[in-house]
Amino acid sequence: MKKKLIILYFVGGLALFSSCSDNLELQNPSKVTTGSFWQTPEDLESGLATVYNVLVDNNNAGYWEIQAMQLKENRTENFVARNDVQGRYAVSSYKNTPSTSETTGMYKAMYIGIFRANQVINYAPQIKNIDEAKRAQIVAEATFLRGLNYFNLVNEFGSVPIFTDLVKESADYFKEKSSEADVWKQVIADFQAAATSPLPEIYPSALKGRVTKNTAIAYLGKSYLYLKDWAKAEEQFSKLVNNESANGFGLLDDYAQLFDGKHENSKESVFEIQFSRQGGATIWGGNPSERSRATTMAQELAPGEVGGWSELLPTKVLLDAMTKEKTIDGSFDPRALATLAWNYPGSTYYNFDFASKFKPDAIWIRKNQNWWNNDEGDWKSELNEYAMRYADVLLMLAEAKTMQGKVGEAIPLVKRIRDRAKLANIVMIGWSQAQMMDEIMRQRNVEFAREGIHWYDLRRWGTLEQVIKTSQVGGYLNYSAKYNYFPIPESELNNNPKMTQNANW
Amino acid sequence: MKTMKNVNQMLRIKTFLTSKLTLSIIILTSCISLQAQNIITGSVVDQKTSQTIIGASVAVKGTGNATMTDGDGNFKLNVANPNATLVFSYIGYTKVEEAIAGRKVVNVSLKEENNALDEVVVIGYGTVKKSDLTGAVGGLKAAQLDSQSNTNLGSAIQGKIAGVTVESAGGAPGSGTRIQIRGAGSLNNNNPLILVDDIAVASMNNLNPNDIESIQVLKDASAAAIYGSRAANGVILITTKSGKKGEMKVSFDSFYGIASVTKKLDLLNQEQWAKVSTAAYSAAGKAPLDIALNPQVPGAGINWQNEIFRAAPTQNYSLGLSGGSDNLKYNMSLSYFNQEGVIKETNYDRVNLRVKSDFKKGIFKIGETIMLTKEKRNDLPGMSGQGRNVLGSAISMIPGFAIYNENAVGGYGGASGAVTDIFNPVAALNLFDVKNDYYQALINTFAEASFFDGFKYKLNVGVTASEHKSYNYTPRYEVGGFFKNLKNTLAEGSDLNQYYQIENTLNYSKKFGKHSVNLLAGHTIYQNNFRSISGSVQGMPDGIFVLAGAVQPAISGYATESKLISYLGRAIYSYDNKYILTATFRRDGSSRFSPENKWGNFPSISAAWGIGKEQFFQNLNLPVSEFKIRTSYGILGNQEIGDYQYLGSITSGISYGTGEPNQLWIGNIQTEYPAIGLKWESTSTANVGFDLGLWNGKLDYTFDYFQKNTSDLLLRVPIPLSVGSSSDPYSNAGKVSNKGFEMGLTYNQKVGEVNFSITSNISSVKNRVEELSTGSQVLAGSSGSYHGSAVTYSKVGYPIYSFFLVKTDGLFRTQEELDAHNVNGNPIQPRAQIGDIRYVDFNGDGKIDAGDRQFRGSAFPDFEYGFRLQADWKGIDMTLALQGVQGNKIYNGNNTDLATVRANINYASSTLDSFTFNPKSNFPRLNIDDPNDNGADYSDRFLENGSYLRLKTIQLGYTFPNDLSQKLAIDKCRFYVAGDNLFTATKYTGYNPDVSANALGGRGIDYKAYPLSKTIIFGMQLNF
Repeated sequence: MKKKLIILYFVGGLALFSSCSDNLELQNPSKVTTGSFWQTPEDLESGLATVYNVLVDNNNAGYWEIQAMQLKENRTENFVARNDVQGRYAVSSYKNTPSTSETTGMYKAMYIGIFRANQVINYAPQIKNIDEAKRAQIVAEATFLRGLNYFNLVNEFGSVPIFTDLVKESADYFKEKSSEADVWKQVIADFQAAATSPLPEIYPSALKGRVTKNTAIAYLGKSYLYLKDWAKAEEQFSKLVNNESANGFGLLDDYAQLFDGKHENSKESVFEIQFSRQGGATIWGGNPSERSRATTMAQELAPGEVGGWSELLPTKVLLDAMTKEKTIDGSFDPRALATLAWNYPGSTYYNFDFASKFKPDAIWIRKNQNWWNNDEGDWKSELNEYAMRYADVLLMLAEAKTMQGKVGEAIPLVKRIRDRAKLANIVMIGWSQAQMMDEIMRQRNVEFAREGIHWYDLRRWGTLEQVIKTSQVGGYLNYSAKYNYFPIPESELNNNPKMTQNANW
Repeated sequence: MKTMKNVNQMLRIKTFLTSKLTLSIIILTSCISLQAQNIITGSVVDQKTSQTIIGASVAVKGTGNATMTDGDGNFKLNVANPNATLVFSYIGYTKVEEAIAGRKVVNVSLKEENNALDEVVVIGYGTVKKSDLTGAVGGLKAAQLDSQSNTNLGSAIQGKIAGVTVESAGGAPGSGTRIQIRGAGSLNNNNPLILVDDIAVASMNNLNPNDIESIQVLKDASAAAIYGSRAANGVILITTKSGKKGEMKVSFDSFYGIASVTKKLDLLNQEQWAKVSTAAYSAAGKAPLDIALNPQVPGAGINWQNEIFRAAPTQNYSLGLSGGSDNLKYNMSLSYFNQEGVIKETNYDRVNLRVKSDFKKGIFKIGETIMLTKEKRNDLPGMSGQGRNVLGSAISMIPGFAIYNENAVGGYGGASGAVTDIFNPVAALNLFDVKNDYYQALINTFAEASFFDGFKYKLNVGVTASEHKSYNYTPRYEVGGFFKNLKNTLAEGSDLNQYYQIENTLNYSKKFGKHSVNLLAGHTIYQNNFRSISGSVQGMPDGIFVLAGAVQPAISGYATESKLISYLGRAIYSYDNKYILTATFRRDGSSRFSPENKWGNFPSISAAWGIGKEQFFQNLNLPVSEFKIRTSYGILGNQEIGDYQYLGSITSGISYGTGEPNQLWIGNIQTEYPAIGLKWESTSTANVGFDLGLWNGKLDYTFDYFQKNTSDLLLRVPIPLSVGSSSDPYSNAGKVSNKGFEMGLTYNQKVGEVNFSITSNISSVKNRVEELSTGSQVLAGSSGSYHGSAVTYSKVGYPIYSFFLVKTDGLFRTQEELDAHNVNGNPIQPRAQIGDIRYVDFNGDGKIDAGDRQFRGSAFPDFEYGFRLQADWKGIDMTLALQGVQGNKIYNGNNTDLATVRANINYASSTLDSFTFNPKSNFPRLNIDDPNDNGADYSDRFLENGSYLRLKTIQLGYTFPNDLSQKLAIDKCRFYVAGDNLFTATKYTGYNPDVSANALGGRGIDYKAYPLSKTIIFGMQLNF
């Protein structure tokens, strides 16, 4: 019996030994490899989804997600950051450094977007059985989004490296930076490609939120505006405005509707960043597929009194700017009421009487908050962010015209913005360029507060330093011109021997 | 096919066990059947002391007939053949054979084996006489583990083996330890290979320390090379207890202990807090906070540390059975261990069942180890808020907030209003339910055949299956003003890891006159299959605690496989026990590398000279009983990276929502670049050492000096962010060196009736990063603050992950000092006032920022040491184990919150003595806006001396005298009282200087970690 067992053991063991092959080439059971992907039209289109994803992904610090959104506003005179989230507060009070993780995350996310876009562009030609128009459209969308990431990069960091292809060898990881002018050339080239592509001007409901040809044209115009190439900016914006109805653009009648969650992807939307409860249940962390497509932005900005985290605090300077001009019937500018909550007679906020729930001198945000509810619930907000509104196109066109001395042509454009805000019908005929620019600057500040464009407006107008210093808001004493751009992140410098820090830093 | 094989194997094991059981019964019955034969009696005593030896084995040579001496050292044995020979043996004594020669009474005296160098030492795939060792090894015996008061094996070896660094992995019950042998060679994985009865295990944390017979640590390349690519960080060979020939022995050990936290941090009460906070606000020209003026709990408020800590019981029960005959030996144990955590609601329990036996028949020998383990942990919950975890929240929570609020969903109060969002730690402990269950079955079987003259073939087949089940339930709650969860949420996960090993080895061992050879050849296959699933649901009705009712369900899973195939060989040649040469070679192929880089070769060579045996040395007439010089050199590997790193892969589910209404648009993409051209990390180790035995083995001294150079470091080297890879691919990226020495000393002595034994060791390692990737590369380690930047960095020329911080230079005391701090008339710290910290402008650029970081020390100690004393006198015994480290630094991350008045949280009591209240203080002035950045986390203000000396174990026991035990029919009865971690001498101001680190970059950073506890234990041991 024992002997048999022993023999059985050896025989069994030998059988195991011989049946165990020496094969060491194991395939990953959980993931498809790059070699087997990129075959079908579905592969290509799903690749494109990830390029959009990076705009909103919290873990990658997407440019329209909480972190970047707060950094866009908290360094202006209009907002300050709460003082105990170090990195955000550092940016808000002009104490950020190359190692600040928030700006590092922003930089990284933009390049993640570029890497993904480059994959779509690079692999598109090898896709089989695809409609050629479809292929061209997907490439155009990816190219636009790549351009958008470079647009954001050049606006936040200035001079940065340009990748338009995939890395083949490890030596290619290390790229020196291009000049600011060259990055802008890349931005223009990418936007131009999409603006002249077979992309449709308008998408049906099911595809709202995706980049159209008009999105690309508007961004091309915006790029020229930022480069102060007024004529080319005017040319692009005019394409949209001259064919406004054909393009399906217009202003909503009531400014408040823009932010009430019921009028998303409206005629005023040029490029709208989508948030919803689609996707998984997780807000932070987890696998990508577990993550919700909702944003915690509203929870982060809500006041402590309703369980919010009060990460971005509007300043008195902003309230003053918004309440300076009353409407034709003497009430507050509807844009002030839709953007901010403060202690005025009858003010309610999160279903509380403002005066009794909040501090008397408190100013809180209404725009993109679910302030008609009791609180921000489970922190998941579905409210979209506007990357670009049609009102912006109108004002940018007005600015492009004004800067070319065509002040008169700017009047109807500015008037549309004022009229929607129910402001008095002032006489603008005969205004100087400077007068019109003053009005445009004021309107832009009030119209787009909290939407993340004010800082860049101030910077290109050259008024940044003066505005920050006179506002006496937050860490204004720390401000100097070097904070106009973020520094190149420490981890890029540490890991890329060809990289150098930007001037001023 | 694979499943078929598994089933076959399981069947085999089952049959094998059944037959074994029958056999045991037969043997047991045969022991008690009486035969009328020739009765021999006698006694066994110690040759030196003439004391009787209890439990010595007395056997009739060449038969299964045996007995043991009783409590008086007497034996009685039926022996049919009056000319037979009796064999007397006892552990630690030299075996004696005595012919009966017709006598009725045979008395013998046994001589203690005090020459430790004659011990047999376990090395890889075999054993060797200690005197034949050529490599650097260190070991411990069961008794030295002090398992009566050590609940975790890692902690039981802490400070006891030279060159082996054991660090706590946190004070949470069941969290174990982290072990490093001879410094940190890799930037990636520094865990040694651990084998339990020849099968690799992931960790030794789940073993019952009481099951361990011996631990052997293979430190240098010569000793470890036989394990090739897995051995670069050293090898720990754990041997569990085996059966001994003799009648069945039963042991029962149990203890009960009470653990408590070693210290509490000195924090403010509500009144003090209001004073400090208000002063800081007023310095910034701001009105005080509401909670400072109108606390919910007035007076002292809540002491949140007291609310989470408790005195926690620990209990342990172990039952052991062992015995055997010449042909069959068995050892089984069953144990239960339960440890409540010093933080409420946390606990750990463990059940271990172990069976080990071997059976001989003719030229064959078969045997197995089976270990079944079940562990259950209730862990600290994860939670939102800037407290980060329960401990962090307890130390940060403002005392003025109330614990409970009847009106809130869930019933808990908490922080609200214009303060930092800290989660009520009491609420977190009670609301969240976090459970982890671990099941592990380890089965290792072997069969050996000895044939011809000196050949031995061994087949070893082992399997481990480890399952981990996680459970995380969050009910609906409202906690204070910041935290609200409207939906019940449950997440569950299940992982299964299956590991197989098949090892075929052939051994040839032979002595030709003065020459002796030992040859080994083998082939091994290891395979690992891992599979994980997890899921979660939200919004179930109250009372549902399973993944049912598909409300927002989410599921995910993944699997990995890896395989390692190896060929190995070793030759040991010894001439006259004086000149010994060992050569080892292993060739490993790993599935983790690309086809062209799969195979790696790992050779080593070593030699020893038993100089003490030379005639000329003996002529010196020194009291030296043994003197041996050893030297070795070899190359070892490391393959501890994840699987499939060389393949570019697609990540799915990176989605976006589009359209009205919004629909999910599923995305798939490659998110990171694969590792291009990745190969093995290799470590070459050179070792020289000697072993010295004095006074016939009373004193043993071992010394080793080593140099360990690791090259082709496997590392996720950060590539530029601009590449857009979401994580960094592995590459072979640099060199690290570790140089050091270690000494071990053992001294055994007997003074009158007092026996005592002293073991001590000291070791020192100098760690240095020699090369890193692009040359200018700097690797950032971990941060020690909330949302903070890294405080540790790896840079060429410094130890791995050293502290690089901005140096502080006291406070500005006068306007003159302030004015003097300038570069070309421009103030270096323009916002500074009197009472603020002066920082050193290291790079001289006239401003203070991250560029002023400089090397400020590292978590590597200059040296570490251990000391253990064991003494007994009559029935009383005493054990004392001390352990310490010297010269390391700790970054006290908790102080970045508590000792900087910047956030609206509770503060350390040291703030009461700040410059604001006491102009002589070294603590800077308070200002809630902190314009001078006194609280900047990059400054060395938070870096402290981490040296400590700890009384790790103290144990006092009493063993009942034999005659008393005898009356109760027991062999041994011992009661003891012990203390674990009772006292630590240190200047470190945090909870405990043995700070836990989850990652290499986090070593020496103490941030909101579960504190270690001290335990007082009462226990008893019974053998019968």
